[in-house]
Amino acid sequence: MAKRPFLRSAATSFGILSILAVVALAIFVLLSVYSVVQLRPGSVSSSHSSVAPGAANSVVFRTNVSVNNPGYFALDGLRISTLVRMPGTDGVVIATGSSPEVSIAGGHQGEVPIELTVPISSQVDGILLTHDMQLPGWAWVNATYAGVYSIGLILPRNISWGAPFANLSVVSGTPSLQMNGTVAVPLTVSFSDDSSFAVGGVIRYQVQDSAGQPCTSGAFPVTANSHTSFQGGTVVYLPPSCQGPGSSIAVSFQGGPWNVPLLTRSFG
Amino acid sequence: MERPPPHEVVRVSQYVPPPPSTYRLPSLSNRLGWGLLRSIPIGLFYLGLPYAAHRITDGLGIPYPFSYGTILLFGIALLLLSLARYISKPTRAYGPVSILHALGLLAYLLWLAGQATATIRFMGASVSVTFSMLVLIATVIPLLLLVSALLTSVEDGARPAERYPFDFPA
Repeated sequence: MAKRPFLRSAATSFGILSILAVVALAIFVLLSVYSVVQLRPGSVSSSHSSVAPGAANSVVFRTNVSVNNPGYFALDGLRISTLVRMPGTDGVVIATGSSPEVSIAGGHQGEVPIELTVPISSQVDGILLTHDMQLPGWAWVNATYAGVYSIGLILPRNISWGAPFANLSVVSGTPSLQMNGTVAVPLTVSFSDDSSFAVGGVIRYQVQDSAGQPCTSGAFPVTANSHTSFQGGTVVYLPPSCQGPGSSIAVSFQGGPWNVPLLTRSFG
Repeated sequence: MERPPPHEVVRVSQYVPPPPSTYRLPSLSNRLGWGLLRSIPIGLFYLGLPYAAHRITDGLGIPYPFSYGTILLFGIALLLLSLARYISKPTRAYGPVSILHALGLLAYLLWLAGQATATIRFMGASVSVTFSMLVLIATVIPLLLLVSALLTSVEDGARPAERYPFDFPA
């Protein structure tokens, strides 16, 4: 038989190549689908979590999410992003966090570090200092599997927030007139540290008269371990100008990286 | 006045069709029979597989990104084109029908690539998997078929019946 001409041979070769491509693609699809279904919720676990006071009056959550990739192909561009809203505020976002992009080779386990910084000193989020609550949050997981499957996962995840000054109470005792004309008022501050970190520093107070002018101020030390209660106080000496109705007291905390207002209320 | 000698036209290579004794073309009924038989596995690939995937994902509560109607439409069209391609193999129509088949498959895959996202929602969570890239990679198959079909059309135009001894040896 005569030799097949070049273009005929090329046409046949392209036809054979298309069959080989079908076979290769079918094998790849079978292996990748088998591998991708090995990624189950049990493959993801959280470890080394920590909560600590952060700079600029914030609380920093850090956690390492461990991801097991038992399949044959790599998990690339794995990124976990989080978002936390303040309940009862029409969905005001108070914190967002994100992990770096991580790649996990097939048959390996990897860790994705996530950091979430929650501010605690503004008008909206300052309530987190003194109130325990469930913060509605969401986590987004994005990754590419085997270079061809884009996977997106959205998980609602509430955060149980333990306030460091939960149930804060500032109680003034019975005033007593002093020889110099001032009035001594016992001041008692109590709270429970429901957070997972210790609180240490000073409670600062400032008493203002009805016109808003400062009368007196002071501070006393405060220390509370995680999940313990604190009760302490001092005696506030009020000058005569501050003894009328309408005076108020502002209490704040200063310690570590924090300098945060706690509450303002009427006094006397 | 003497006329100059006429130029002699010399053909360097002239196509000579292969002698009919070197090939044996199958009859139309034969091609139709084998073509229909061959359509069973091809039908499973173009129609059965997508339909089964649709039923399985429906059963799992996962919305399938492709409608039954479109799968049926593309599946039947590609199956008919594949059958026409097989039946027309010993004719000049083989190349053009192969081009149509490759273009149909390419269009099907490009349409699939635009829809290839499956999303599952449960208890406020959602998981979505997009496999457009995989489908786009698969377009290499119709592209290879298209090149093969174009070459066959060109060769069939220039040298009809040349491939018969190879495709249908006696």
